This record gives sequence, structure tokens and C-alpha cells, in this order.
Amino acid sequence: MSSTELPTKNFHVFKSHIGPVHVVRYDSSGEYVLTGGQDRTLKLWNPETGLVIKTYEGHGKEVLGASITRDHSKFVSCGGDRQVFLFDVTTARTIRRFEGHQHRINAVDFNRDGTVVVSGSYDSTVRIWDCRGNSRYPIQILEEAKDSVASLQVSDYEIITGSVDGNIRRYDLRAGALLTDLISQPITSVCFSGDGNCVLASSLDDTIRLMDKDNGGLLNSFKGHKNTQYKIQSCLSNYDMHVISGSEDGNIYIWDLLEGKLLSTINQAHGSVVTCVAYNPKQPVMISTSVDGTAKVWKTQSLV
Amino acid sequence: MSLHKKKAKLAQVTEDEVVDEKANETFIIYGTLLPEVDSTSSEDKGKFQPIWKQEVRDENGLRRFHGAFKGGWSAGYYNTVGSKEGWIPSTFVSSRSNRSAKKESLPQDFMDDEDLEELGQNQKLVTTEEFDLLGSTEREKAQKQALAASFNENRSGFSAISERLIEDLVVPSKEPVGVRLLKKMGWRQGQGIGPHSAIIKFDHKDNTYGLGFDPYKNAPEFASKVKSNSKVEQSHLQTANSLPMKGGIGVGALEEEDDEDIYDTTSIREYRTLLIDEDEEAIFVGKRQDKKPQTFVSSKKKSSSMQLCYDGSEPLTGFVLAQRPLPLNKWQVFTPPEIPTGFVPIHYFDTPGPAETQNTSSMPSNTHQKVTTLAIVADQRAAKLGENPIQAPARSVFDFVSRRDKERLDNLIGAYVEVKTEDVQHAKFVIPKVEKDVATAALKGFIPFGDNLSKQTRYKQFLEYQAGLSQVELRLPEDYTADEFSKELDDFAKAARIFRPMSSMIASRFASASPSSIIQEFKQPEGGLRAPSGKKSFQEVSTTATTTSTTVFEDSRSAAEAAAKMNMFGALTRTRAEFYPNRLLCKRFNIANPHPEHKGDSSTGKTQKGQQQPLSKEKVDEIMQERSTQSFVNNTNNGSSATSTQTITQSESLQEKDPEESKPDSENKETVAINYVRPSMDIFKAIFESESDSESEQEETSKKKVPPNLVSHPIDAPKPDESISVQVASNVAVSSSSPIIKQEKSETSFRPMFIPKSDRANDRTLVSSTSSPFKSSESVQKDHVSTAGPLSFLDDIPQTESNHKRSSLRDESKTTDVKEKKTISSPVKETKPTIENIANDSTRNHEELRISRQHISKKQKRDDSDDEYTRRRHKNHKKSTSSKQRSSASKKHKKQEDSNSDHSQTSSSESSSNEVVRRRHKNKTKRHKKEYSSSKKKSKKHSGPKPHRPRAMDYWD
Repeated sequence: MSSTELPTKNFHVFKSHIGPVHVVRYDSSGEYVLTGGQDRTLKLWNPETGLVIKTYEGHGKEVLGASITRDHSKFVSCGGDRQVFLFDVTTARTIRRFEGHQHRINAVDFNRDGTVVVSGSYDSTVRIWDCRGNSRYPIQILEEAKDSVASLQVSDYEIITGSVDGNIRRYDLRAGALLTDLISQPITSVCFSGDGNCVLASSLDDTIRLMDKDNGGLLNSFKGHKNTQYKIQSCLSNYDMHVISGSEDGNIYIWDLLEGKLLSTINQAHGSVVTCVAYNPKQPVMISTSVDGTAKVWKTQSLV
Repeated sequence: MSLHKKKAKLAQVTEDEVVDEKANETFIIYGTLLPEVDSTSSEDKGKFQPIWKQEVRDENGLRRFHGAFKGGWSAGYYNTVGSKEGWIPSTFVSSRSNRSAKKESLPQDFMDDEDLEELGQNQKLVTTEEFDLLGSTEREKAQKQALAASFNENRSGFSAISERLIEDLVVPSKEPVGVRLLKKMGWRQGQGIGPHSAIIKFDHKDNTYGLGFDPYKNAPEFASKVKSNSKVEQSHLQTANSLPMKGGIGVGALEEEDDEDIYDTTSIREYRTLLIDEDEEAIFVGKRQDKKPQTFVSSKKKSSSMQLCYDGSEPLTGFVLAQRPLPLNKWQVFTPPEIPTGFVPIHYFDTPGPAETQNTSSMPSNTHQKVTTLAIVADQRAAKLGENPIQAPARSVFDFVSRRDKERLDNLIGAYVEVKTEDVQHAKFVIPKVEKDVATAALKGFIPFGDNLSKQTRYKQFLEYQAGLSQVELRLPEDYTADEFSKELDDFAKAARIFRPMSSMIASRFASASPSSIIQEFKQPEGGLRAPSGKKSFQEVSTTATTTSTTVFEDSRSAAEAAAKMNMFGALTRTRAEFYPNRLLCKRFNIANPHPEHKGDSSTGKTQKGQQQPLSKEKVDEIMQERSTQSFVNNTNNGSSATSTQTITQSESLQEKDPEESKPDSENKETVAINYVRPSMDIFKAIFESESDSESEQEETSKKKVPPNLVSHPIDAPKPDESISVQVASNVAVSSSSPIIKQEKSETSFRPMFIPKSDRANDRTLVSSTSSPFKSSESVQKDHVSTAGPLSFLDDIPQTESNHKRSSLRDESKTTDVKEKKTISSPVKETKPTIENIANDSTRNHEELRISRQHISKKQKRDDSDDEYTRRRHKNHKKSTSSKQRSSASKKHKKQEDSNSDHSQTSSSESSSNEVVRRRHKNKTKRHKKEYSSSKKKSKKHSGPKPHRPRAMDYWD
């Protein structure tokens, strides 16, 4: 396994978007990629060939978040138009629109079964929408955040949110508990580790922290990149080996998870702020998106 | 009336006139007269009618839709198939004779007119072959294809081909008429139609001018230049087209463009807003001055440098000097006016006013002016033209008021105005009032105007002055006018109110924003997120926090902050709270509800928005439950007091006991009502089994069942007979509307109780005749028949928890009419008779009578064990009553059943000793209320058939 090798070789540049690209998501198979950008569209494309398969239009403003169901049949997206769109992948039509947020929606995610959509908004609420029922109203509204909910992720039984008020909130549905971890810096990105025991959180003090989910302790922190203004979605590699994040200077940084050591820097990976990185769930391949309007596929040397 | 008469008269007069006219007329009439317009045909058929007056008719003029209440749609013959004669299958043909001949039935055979019409609509009109001009070639093609096919089929058989060819040659080709006509006119196949014309060259229209318009027709020297420019424009347009955004890349979430239709894809940008005048002058219509401002500037330069008016002045802004003088030939009709000798075209004022100079100096110079609009401000134009500007005070409204009025006004408000003006002159600037506490709080809070230190110090000064901390008078700063300074002070006052630190309660609800962001409202906002520069505001909040609890909270909060800053994440930074996921959410996540005991299936209280409709059923039920418990308590209190006031003279002991006993009991009932259990089997039996069966059974159950609380009641000392009767009366009073009358009535009515058994049949009429002075004995008898029947029937019902239900249900089962049932079961309707009774004395008397009679009958029953007899009698009564009477009776009886039902079970089983009777009465009065309340509770709790609302409620309410 080329685990030691890092995906630092540019394999493909995807230029289909006009304007900044805000979000990138792999599907569960790792064969397709969904990107959403300022041009109000989402594009489904093949990272191997770089060909656009479908363009999903419907958003009235920029697309800021997206999530794909595990069966690839649907995906959900959100953005500046305060609506959550549930798209059908094959027909490129919206199945449903969830309205209710009072401001732009930063992040959205499905639960495991794709029955529930959780969206976090600038209006400091998290709304949980039911895909099965026909209710216009959310199942539940989580109003604990005191500032914009910048990022969230849903696991099998948890909802984790990162808010600009400097807290990581973990709603444990199974235990019926809300665990709030104060970081005291605006959180812009949260994600679970692959084993589900840790939480990776980026904050606007140029730091990425790896938090212990159980006791809220700090396991490791990763520094070196620049992140003071923008929401930069960081991620972990597919075997939780590395921490990857973009930077406001256009570089991409890769750290070792255990040692916290900066392993690699892709200098000038993009011409502008790297907004989001996503790691292929199966291969050592990653994709980064940037404000410069491109999405880049990065592979290891051996794969290229 | 008079109007009608007048009209009639008028009509007569006109008629007479007509007659006269007819006699005298000597007209010659040509042509045929139009038919007289009679009243029916005068109605305009096309006149608009409201929808509810419009009628829908089918093609035969028949009304097919008659409205929902008149049968809805009618089809066929009066909603039947077929005709007047009945249904005759029109297509039926006996196939017996020609069985072998297969009848081919088309779908059309089974269609009715409408279907056929529809079919006809779906059919396409096709030109026949003869006229098919366009299709001819196709036909030929098909012919050729067929030929080729046949050729391929038998390649060898040449004869066949020749045959076909010959056939083709011989058979006249079916050319369409149009072709034949054209041929006759000399047209040949393959030729075009119409006159021969030159090939039209199509130029791609790549501009946004009108068709055929050439903007450079008169300016070929500009054409090359501007065309290249337009190419740039064009390329720009193309990029704009490929870019489906209106707002461009810069449209972010921070830019609030709510009014815009964000889903709109076309944009104004795609239209050319620049017009080029024929005089080669750019006129800017829209905002797009950034594109070509140099042309204008150049022209301006030109005009300023060399193009001066003949009097030597610059042309007005927005105006351009004409290159060519006006063509004179156009105006040759008129001779130009003769200019007087010595005429100076420009008027120079002898004494330019001081205001003018001031104005021009304050006016922005031309070079700095925006050149976007053609409109010039009136003042500017006036200045340009050298007009004397109107003096400022002249613009006052008072200048238009006549002098006398003005004087009067002055007199009226003179004193006030004088004071005012003096004040203003003295103070010069107005210091707005700020509350002392606000000022002190604001001093502690955030101090704005950080970008202007002198202003900040002034602000502080102002606050200190307002807080009474310093006595330093506010002075007018240099380079400030009084107006400006007072405005600034106003701002300060506002700022003090805004930047006063929040009360700790509110503060805890908000996240601390960086103080820099507050300043930013004075500065240009920047994009992107920003980390707070410090935790200043938190400290501020903690300093101002007053209550200990909040300080504790703040402390813990700040401790967590500190810990977080020191990277000591863990227990210090973690807070745990209960989270109540919604039931549905748990379901969707396939997780058992972690808080099954949590009733409101909510999360942390406030996260309920949108999850539940404001008036969901549960909510309403909840509210109702709350209300009913409240009102119940009130009712019991009121009710007991009401009864006590009524019975106070008779039995004090009862009054004393009542409130004490009713309360715990009521609670019991409440719990019973909440834990609603399925009624026992015999209730269903009572409902669904035959009457005789149920009766006998009930008798048994009544004997068996004794309410548990009855045993626990203390036995009162025996009392004289009179008191008993009075108590009965009081009980009656509770359950009926007028207590005072009833007491008398019941006393009298009670008396016949002692009439011997054998006379019982008669005593009813006797009682009624004696007790009711308002009605004839006959009518009373009638009433008695109608009321007493079902009432006494119910006397046997045992007193149980489900007593109510049972009786009411059984009653319902007996009444055959559904509507009657409804009236019985619905409590709203039953209140009506009560009201009526209150209004109507006589009916009330009946009620009382009836009630008393019941007591009597009960007593009698108790006296003798001969139940059989009474039941039979009641049955007879029942039979004799009509269904209508029965319904009314059942209504009334239901009102009484609460008060009566409890005796009924004891009555049959017990002996007739006075003590027992007394006790029973006591119990009854108590339980009556309890029952009522429980029934009320039940009625609120269960949405099923609501038990009858007893009359006594009118008093308790």
C-alpha cells in the first residue's frame, strides 16, 4: 500500500465552474465528484477523466454545501438562497426544497440512510429535515449555537456542528446529550475521523485541532497554514493517516495525524484561497477546490 | 307607494299619447319593421351574469348540472340510461339469422355524442390527394420506392417491370390541382414559384439598433472607430452571456439583494444602454458611463476650449453647442424677428447680490461635478444664467401669508416664539438628555468612535457630563458649528443607548462579537470571516454582571475560555446538557428515544419552532385539560357554596361537610377520569341486547353494585320528615334553575308521597293539578307522560363510574331516529332547553313537577318492593309517547339522570326507613356534584360521545 506516499501530484484541473468553487464531495464509491460553486450550479464529474457528467442548476445563489447519499441516487445541497435542495442525481431535478432558514446555509449533510437532512446556517440554527414525510417544517431545530453554524457532519447517531461562536457541539441522539466543547475560536470546519472517535476542527486561528470525542481533550493540533478569514474545509485521509487542509495562501498542507508534523506542502496549489479539500474514500487521491474557480485532482506519484 | 302611483299615471299618459299619435300619424314606412321588443326578449342574452346565476346547458339545451342539492349531474334520460321508453340498446342486432357474417364493430359504435365530438376533434384534417400539392413528391417517392422494391423482388422478370412501367405510364398521374394549374400557366416542374429575383444577402445582425438603422450614415469618420469599440462591447456581451450570473462573482451572502429575483437569468447587462447620437455625441441613458466616458469628456474639453457660445460663455452642462447652425430653409416661412439696434443679448446685472457670490463659492465647481445626468439643479442653472437667486428667508411659508394674518399669528404665538428664539440663541447647541444610569453604563461599556480620538474624548466628556461625574460644561469645539455639534451630541446620546452593555441576562444569550466589528459600521466592511481580536466584550460583560448566578456562569464561561486559550481542552471546556431529540428524529436515525420519559418530545425547550403546529390536537387537549381542572376546582367551590346558601336554613351540617368532602372526592374522580378504562361488558350488553334482557340484567347489577364511596359516608342523625323533603327540594334546586320557587313546589309535591300505594295511579294527576297553577291538568298530564316514562325507567340504573355513559347510550339505542340521537348526545343543543326553561315559567314548573314526581316514584318504589308493577307502567308510558315526545323527554331526563341515578341503585335494594332515605339524599347531593364534575371532565377528556351536561351547571357556573 502506498500509504506513505502523499497525493501531491496534480492529475487534473477542473475548470468547469465560473467563479469560486466552494464545496467538493466524493461519492461513497470514490468514482465521482460533486462540486458546488459561486455560479449557482453543482457539477457532477469524473475525477479520472475530468469530464462533467451533469450540471445541476436550481440554486438562486452560491452553493456552499452538498452531501450525497450512500446509494448515489440523491444529493442535497445548500447555499446562499436559504434553501436546501434535494436533487435527484439522474434527472437533475429537485425532488424537494426545504425552506425555513433565515440566512444562508453553510453546511448540509445526510444521515446514514439518507432519510434526514441536517443543515446548518448563518442564522445560527441547525435544522433537521425529514426526507420521508411531507412536512414543510423541520423535524427539529437546534438553536444552541450563538453564531453562524459553519460546518456540520452527521454520523450514525450523532450530529456534530462547528460554530463561529467557538464551540463544537455534538448532539448525541443515542445518549440524548449535547456535548459542547469550547475552542474559543471560530470553528469553520468539523469532521469525524474515520473511526468516529475523534473530531477534526479547523478554527480561524490558523489551527486545526484533533479533539477527543469522548472527553473533549485535545489530541493534536496542526499549524502552519493560514486560515484567519475564510471557511476552509479540512479533511482526513481515508485511513486517518493524514490531516489535509487548504490555506488562504493557496497552498495545501498535509500533516501527520499522530505526530502533528507537517509532512508536505503543495505550494501554490491554487491561485487563491483553497476552500475545500476532499479525500477519496478508496484511493490516495484528493480533490481541492479554490476561489480561483478550479478544482484540482491530486494523486500520488505512483498513481499518476 | 306614491311613486308607484305616479309611475302608473305616467304610463297611462304615455299610452294615451301613443294612441293619439297613432290616430294622427301620417308617416310612410319603408321596409319591414323590426319585431317589437317584448319584455322577455329584451333581456340581453349575452349579458353578464354572476356565476351562481349562470346555467350550464348541453348541446340540446338541457340542464345537466343541477347543483349539489338538487341531484348533481344528470345524464341520459333523468339520470337513467336510454330514453323515455327505457333503455334500448341501439346497436342491438339479432345475429341469429346471419351468424356467419361477422359484424365488425367500430369503437365509434360505442361512443356517445360527446365522445364522438372528442374523436372528431382529435382527427386531423388532411387534404385529399387531388389537392395535396406538397404531398405529391412524397407520393411519388413512395411510388418509386414501391417500384424499386418490386424491381428487387423479381430482378429477372423484366416483364413485370415493364408492366408496371406501362401501367404507370398509362394511368394518368394524379397531379394535384395546383400543379396542373401552374403547368397550364407555363410553369415547369423543378422551377421555383414567383418572379425571379436576385439572391438576398443576409447580414448577421450583430447590433442592437433598429433594422436598417445605420448610426454612422452621416458620420463615416466615426464608423471605423466606434465599430471597433462595438466589437469590444460584443465580446464583452458574449462573456456575459456565457456567464449565467447577474450579480457576477462578487455577489456574496453579505450583499443583501432581497428584491431581486435571484433565479432570473437574463440581465440588463446584456442590453446595450449606450446610444450614439447622430451628432456624434454620447448620451448616457443608464449607468454605463464607465464604458465611454472619454468621448464625453473630450467633447466637454472641446467645448470648454474652443466651443464657446457666441457671447463667449461656456455652454451649459449637459448642453452641447451645435456644430452646424440650424438649417434655415426649414424656417424660411417665417422671417426672423428684427433685432432692435443696440440690443445686447446678455443681460448683465448692475449689482450682483451678495447671496450670489456666496452661492457660487459654495457651489461645487464644474470640473468636480458628476456628468452622469442631463438634469441640472435649478440653483445651478440659475447661477449659470446669472440669475439672482431667491433669498433664503423668502422661502418661508409665512411669506405667503398676508400681513394681517401674519401679525395675528405673531400676536398669538409671539411670546412663545420670543422665548424660543432667545433660548436657541443662548444655548446655541442643544444637549440631548441621557438618563444618568444609561450614561454611567455606557461609560463602562464599549466606547465607540475609536477611529476619531477627539470625537471619542468628546463622547466621554458628554457621558461624564450626563452621568454627573464631571461638571465640565460641554464646549463648542473649534471648526464645529452649533448645528453640527448638536447633531454630534445627538449621535452621542444614541450611541450611549446602543453601546450601553447589555444586561447580563441578554448578554448571556448573545455571542460576543469583536468590538472591532462595531466600529466597522463606520468603516468599509471587508470580506471574509474574522477572528475576534480579543475577548474584551466578555470581560466587559463580566464586569457589569450583577446577579451572582450570572457571574458564576460568566466565571465558568471565562474559565473555560481561559482553559481553551491554554489549550487545556477537556473537562474544563466541555459542557454537557440534555438533548431531547424529537421522536421522529429518533425514528429516522433508528435509535430508541433516549428520553422516553420526556413528555413534550422536544429538545431544550426553545428548539420547538416549526415542529409542532401552534394548535395541534395534543396542544388543544392539553390546554383543555388544564382549563377543565381549573374550572373544575372553581366549580366545586362555587357549586358547594351555592348549594350551601340554598340549604343553609335547612341543614347546616350538610353545608359544612360539602366543601370538605367534595374536594378529595373530586380528585379521586379526576384520577379515575384520567385512567380511562374500557367499560365493562354489560354496558355493551345494555346497548346491544334486547330491552327486557338488559332491564333484568340491570336489575341484577344494580343490586350487586354499590359505590365504594357511599359506604364511607358518615350517617347523619335522623331528621324530621320535613327536613327530608326540603333537602330533596334543595337538591332539586341545585339541578334546576329557580331555587326559590322550587322549594315551595317541591314541598307541595312531596306530600303525595304518603298517598297509599293503590292511589298512586291517580296521585300523579292530583299532584300536578295542585302544584301547577299555570297549566291545565291535562297538559300537565301530557307532560308527565312524556317525561316520566323514560325517566323512571332510568331509575333502575346502578350508580357506577360508567353510569352516565350507560344511561345515555341506552337511551340513544332506544331512540330510533338518528337525528334525535344527535340532539341528545350533543351538549350544545341540550343547553338550549335549559335556557328556554329559565325563560318560561310554566315549563320550569313542569320540570320541577317532574323532578318531584320522580322522587315520589322512587320513594314509592322504595316503599314497596313491587318493581314489576312500576316497570310495566313505565313501559306503557313509553309506548304511548310519540317519538318526538320521547326525544324531548329523553333530553329532559338526561338532565335529571345525574341527580337521580345514584338513588336508583340503592332504592330498590334498601328498605324505606327515614334515616336511610336521609342519608341517601345527603349522599346524593354530594355525589351529584362529583358526578357532574367527573362527567364534565370526561366530556373534556374524551372526544367520544359527550355526556349530558346537567342543568345544575347553570348555577355552578
